[in-house]
Amino acid sequence: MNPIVQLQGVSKKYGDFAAVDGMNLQVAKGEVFGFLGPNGAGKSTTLRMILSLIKPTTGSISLFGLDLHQHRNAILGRIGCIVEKPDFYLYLSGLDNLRLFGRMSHTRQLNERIETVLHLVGLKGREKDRVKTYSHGMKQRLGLAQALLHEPELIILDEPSTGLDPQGIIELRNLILHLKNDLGKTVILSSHILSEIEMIADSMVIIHRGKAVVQGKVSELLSHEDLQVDVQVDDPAAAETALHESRLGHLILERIPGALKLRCAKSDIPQVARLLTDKGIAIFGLQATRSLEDYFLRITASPEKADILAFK
Amino acid sequence: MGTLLRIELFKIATKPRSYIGFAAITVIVLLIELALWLDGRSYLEFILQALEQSFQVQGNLLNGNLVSFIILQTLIVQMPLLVALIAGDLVSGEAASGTIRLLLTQPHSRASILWAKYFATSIYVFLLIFWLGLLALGGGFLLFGAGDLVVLKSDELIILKAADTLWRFMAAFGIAFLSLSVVATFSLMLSCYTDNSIGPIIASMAVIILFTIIGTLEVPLFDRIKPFLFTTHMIVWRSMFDQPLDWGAILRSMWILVFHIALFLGVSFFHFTKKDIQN
Repeated sequence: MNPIVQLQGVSKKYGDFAAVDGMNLQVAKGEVFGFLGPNGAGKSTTLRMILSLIKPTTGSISLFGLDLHQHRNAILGRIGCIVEKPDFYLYLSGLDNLRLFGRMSHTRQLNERIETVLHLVGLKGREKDRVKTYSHGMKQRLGLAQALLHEPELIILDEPSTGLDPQGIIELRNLILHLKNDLGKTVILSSHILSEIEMIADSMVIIHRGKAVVQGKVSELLSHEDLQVDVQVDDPAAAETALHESRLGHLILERIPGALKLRCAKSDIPQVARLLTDKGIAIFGLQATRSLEDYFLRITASPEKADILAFK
Repeated sequence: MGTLLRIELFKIATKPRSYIGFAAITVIVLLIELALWLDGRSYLEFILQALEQSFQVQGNLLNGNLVSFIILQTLIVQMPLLVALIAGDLVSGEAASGTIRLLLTQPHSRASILWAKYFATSIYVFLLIFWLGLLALGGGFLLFGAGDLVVLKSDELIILKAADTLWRFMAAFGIAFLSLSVVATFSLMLSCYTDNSIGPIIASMAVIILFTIIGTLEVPLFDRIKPFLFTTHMIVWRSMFDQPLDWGAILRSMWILVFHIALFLGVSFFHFTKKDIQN
């Protein structure tokens, strides 16, 4: 692994309270890295420490192989970010804001770059309007444009889908995948929409009470997890009985009108379908949902269990 | 640094509140000049009525020099508020609007960002003083013509030849710039400590009013404090119209003002470069 971001034993304490406690973290070059955690877990503090907005109490942070404390300006020149929410100078136009931050970040061929990012985020045509007239979703797009303006190698996006409409969320997802796949960028993505992380992140960390309780490849972490399967049938009671008789009753989570909810491995699904069909029960639909949400809730509810699952 | 300074100046220039100071100065100066033009004779008679019992006053006393002196004396009291409006908002305004996160994740040291803000504010203060000088002297001479300047103090009457006044006004404006720079750095320092843009402006004015009251009251206890208050030295511009000039006192006051600027800047840099950005 060639880590582009590395945190070693990083802590941030406010008096006796540790907002971040001995955090170890590695983000590989060229991946989309998901940052998960409940409110107050230390997610935002960690991201701010990576961006040198907050100074760690202990530990070391290095990016691109350089120590953040010693090479702060050089490192920040290679990062684009949205922290918490995209706030801009409201009395200026979107274009003026981009020009201003473009000059600060030493963006080359600024006008061309502004045109490119405006097209990329879908703000072309509104760039001359004052930011105070923008909706939250438009500010979010402007935030993305600003983050991408100077062609950074690492992009840190804190809750970037907040305020976006469903179409905007899909565009954002596609944009992140474009950044990773076509431009070779590394993206750190913090989101409370777990399905987003599941769909686009290669690796992830779950932070709880200031500690990284789970870190690893999303596919590996979730392959250990059961699916939740909604089986829509004509007779849920008969289906429940059939599963109990076949010693598969332990898979049942609950019976709801018109369906059974199961928790099972992916490999169990064909067996369940076959059994119900053999018993003459009509199956109208099988919907497997996952899983990251359950996983996340389970981990954050009892972080001690996470040690067993951790990939470190 | 050049880029950062240009950006800070651009932000000040595009912020509507930056023009409040210029508008206020324009309105007040023009009002004073208009009032003196219409009714200046009776105002002057009122001022000179005690003198006329002992002296015979002749010539054009209501001239551009006197009008400029009256304007300077009147407006210099209000100027700190106009300066605090901008300087008090420099850092806290960025924090309140959330732009500080974006600003401090750019590839520039925090110190250079604060230097740029300080220099931009100094330029703003200079332009305010310049505008005041231009309106006061320009308007004064245009409407009232030239003449000797009569400065009436509590215990003496000073008459300065017309040819001897312009450099004194320039020096007075220079000292006023230094005084207002103390206010600017004081507001900047408070601005570094809070995320609320109104707080530093109000706090700056509260401190200036408090210090001014202490400086005005003739109480023995306060007499020991007065030399250490920056407000005591902010009015040293008036000494430029003394005859003879007490250069020792003027330079001492100027050094004390410079010391305060350095002190407030030092505290600002110390805090700002270490501050955790939480909001």
